[in-house]
Amino acid sequence: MSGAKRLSWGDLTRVLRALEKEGYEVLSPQKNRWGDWFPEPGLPAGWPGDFQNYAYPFLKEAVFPLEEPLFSSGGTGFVFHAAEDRRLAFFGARPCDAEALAYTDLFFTGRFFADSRYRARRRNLFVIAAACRAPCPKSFCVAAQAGPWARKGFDIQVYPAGGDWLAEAATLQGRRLLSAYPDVRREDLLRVRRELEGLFPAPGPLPRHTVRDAARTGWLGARCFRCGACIWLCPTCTCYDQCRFGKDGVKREQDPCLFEGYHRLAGGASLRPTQPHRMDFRYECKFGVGACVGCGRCSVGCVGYAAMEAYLERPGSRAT
Amino acid sequence: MCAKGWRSYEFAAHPDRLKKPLIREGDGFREASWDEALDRVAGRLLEIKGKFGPEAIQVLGSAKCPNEDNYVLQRWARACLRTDNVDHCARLCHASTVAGLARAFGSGAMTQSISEIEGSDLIVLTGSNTAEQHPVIASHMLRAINRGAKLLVIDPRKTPMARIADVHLSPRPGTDIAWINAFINVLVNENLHDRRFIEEHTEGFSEMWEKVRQCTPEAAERITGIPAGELAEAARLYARSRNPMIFYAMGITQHVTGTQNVMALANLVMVAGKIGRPSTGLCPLRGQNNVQGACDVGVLPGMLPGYRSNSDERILGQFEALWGVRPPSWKGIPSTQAPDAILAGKVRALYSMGENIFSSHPDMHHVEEALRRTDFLVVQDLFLTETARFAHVVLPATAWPEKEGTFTGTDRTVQRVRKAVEPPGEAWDDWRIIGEVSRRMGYPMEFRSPETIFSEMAKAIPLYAGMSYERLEQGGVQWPCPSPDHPGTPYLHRDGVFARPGGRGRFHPVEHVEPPERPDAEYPFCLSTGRVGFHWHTRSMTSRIGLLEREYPAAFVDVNPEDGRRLGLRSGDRVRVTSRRGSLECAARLTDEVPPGLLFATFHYSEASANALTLNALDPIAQIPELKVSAVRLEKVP
Repeated sequence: MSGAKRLSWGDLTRVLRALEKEGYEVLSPQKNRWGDWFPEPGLPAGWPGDFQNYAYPFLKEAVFPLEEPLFSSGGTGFVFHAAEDRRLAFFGARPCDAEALAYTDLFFTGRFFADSRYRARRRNLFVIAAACRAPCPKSFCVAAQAGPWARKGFDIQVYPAGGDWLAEAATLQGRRLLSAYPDVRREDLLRVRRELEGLFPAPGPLPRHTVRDAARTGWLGARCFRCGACIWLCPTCTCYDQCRFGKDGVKREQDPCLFEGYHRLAGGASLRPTQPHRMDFRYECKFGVGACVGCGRCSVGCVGYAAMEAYLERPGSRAT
Repeated sequence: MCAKGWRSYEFAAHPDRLKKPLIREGDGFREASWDEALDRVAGRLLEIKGKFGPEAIQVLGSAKCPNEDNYVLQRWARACLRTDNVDHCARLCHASTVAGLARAFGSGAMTQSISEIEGSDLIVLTGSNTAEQHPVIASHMLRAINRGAKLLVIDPRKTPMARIADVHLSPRPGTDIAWINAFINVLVNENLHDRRFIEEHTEGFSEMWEKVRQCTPEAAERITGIPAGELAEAARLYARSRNPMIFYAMGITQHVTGTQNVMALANLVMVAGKIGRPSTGLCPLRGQNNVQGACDVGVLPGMLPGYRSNSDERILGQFEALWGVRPPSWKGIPSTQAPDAILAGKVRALYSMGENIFSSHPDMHHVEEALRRTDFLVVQDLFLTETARFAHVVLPATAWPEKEGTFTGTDRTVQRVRKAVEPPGEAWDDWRIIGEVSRRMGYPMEFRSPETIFSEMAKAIPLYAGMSYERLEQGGVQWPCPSPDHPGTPYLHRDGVFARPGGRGRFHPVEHVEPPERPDAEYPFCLSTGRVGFHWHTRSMTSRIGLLEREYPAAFVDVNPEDGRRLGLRSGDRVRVTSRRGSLECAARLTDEVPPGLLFATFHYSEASANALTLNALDPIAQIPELKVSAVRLEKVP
């Protein structure tokens, strides 16, 4: 057996209700009046057929917010701000975001370093990923091996299968929640995965950016307006800075590596004084160590024409 | 979004936000109730009006505030205070556009839509650092370039867009009319002009040609420094393009010849017949989010809402019917002349809604002296700005995430903005503050909400007549939109029918005029001023956004490496920049963004503002200051 289960929409709703009973706030994809998708509290009436992806990496935001206060110094001493104690069940996470979560887990909950705030939120997070049926604009998740279904980063992953859903669990908690439902043969799960993959363009390999590629990053650097969108929209970018907050506090906030200040030393000199230098740094991180999940958000949000889409289209790229 | 957009929520929640009204007490302020503060404002303004007349009160609106706030402000000024001394920061950015394009085309606005950029086959950028100052528009340009459009940049500075341009021409600052006239000269002499368009849709060609005939590329080379051959090639590139769009910003407008520069560009597009079609026209890039709207609703001296002259008795009658009071028919003082008027004793009270003239206006020390001498200064703002520190009363206002209203973008699109968060403390909406002052002065306006204000605006401004909040809920609408069933107007002057009486565009004979100050032996450098992409206007908001402030934490002056070597400078060295008006000290940044002989400094660091150096020479038509050409001296600080 595959370990996967077959569920109706009603069964899926029962799983979500069970999570609610365990104290989780269930978040589901909801479209606002302007057509943007947000994770909103509550169970959906049905699976939204036109849902592709959130414009913003909300799963990352759930464990590693854009900014958060760390401590304040009041009149009587330091006050430390703890991470909020809130159990979230994220229904409808996209595979790319789940894969990104697995990547950030490696760093923030690793053997050699554990970020207490990230880890506290991560323990309170239950991820139900939903495999994708269509590629998102400017995405290349199949090439990045982060779509159309996730390999890791979820508790439960569901696949559309006719009128029903196949569901697989990757954690003990997920397996417990699915235990009551009928098993599915491994061939059936593999067939559904193959069908989904057939809906996506055949991928080429991603480039390995491990040495400086001056021509390409020079071209891209000239087009980068330093808006920061690629960093704030990236589900795996988690570099941060600690800075003043309010009158007497310190916060940490995500820090774009394409900004000059990120690379500036205390004396004012810069480790990477030009935008092409900073581009090299970013792409080495994304492709040199495999931190890109191919969600395409950076290319959608890029004000210039300098994000992943442009990188992959420049001469020298081997990806398609 | 640009970096400022991404982080713009941060300043709104900053602890420095004003949360209660403040009243001056000695050298400082004390907190006051709204009742006390409003009574103080209304009482003092009535007193000054009674003693010195309505001409003694100057009112400044804000291009950062929604249309509704600005409409209420100018109505209060004209109907309650009875003064036409009402202006805003368009005076510093595109007053010359409003004047120049209105004279040439009959409408002082961008002729095209932002969405049309991608259909252009040639983008001409002049006097605009688009990538830093209008990055979203630059994004559309990059998409056009990716589809094969050419990019021609004509700018003294090697801006980010100039670095990726197909052609970059670098004229000496203050010589724009010469290169534009040389373009026209080439077009006509090489028969690349559009004779039919000129004959059927324009007037005044012969008079214009009389001036331009002499301005050959060789003659222009002597003025601009651009090689004649390159000028001629660029002119041909423009003439042979099917859908060229010209974009310009403050590098064209902030000159004593600002209006003439704009008229010269209008001459060029009419000679080439490159207007009146999609993706083909002349596009001023407005400086602030609602500077188009603030102009539309009449925060300009002499201009009632909808660009209608207050010298027209019929128009005055219409506004009298709407407001119950006849607006003044005299022309008020522009903001750039307000400091002089204060120092001359003509203006006694200054009411500033969201403007920071201490930092934004030329010749800072002159402005400081005027602010000190103002009998009664009221500042309505988010923070205790440099200007607010001189105020007698400071009133806490709401920021954009706390407001309902509309903004009008650079391409004439009127869009709704909605309140997302509650304001801090006791901050009030600007329209509500003005309404309360007005009521206490005996002129109640009775607006209940921004929507009721917009309904009156639609009656007062024919360009907006077909708009309503209900309609704007479906998306933005571009003016002119004269009736509810009108779809809005993506591009102006369709098929060469201009908005001037008679429908013809008007050529204006303009020729090069030397700037009032050129480098000389004592002050050998030319200084140009502007801002950086990470800061906005006078930095009152962006200095309170950590990541933006970190990128550019202190003032600097850009120096060409050749000049730097000659003066023994390295990047980061402290330098002193001195003009005939003052001096500042900051770090030097050696960069080829500026050519030899040119320096570039920003105005948004009050401790070392370029406006300590600039001169208050004004364009005689638009009263816009010469902010791009000042003669300065550069020295290393030992």
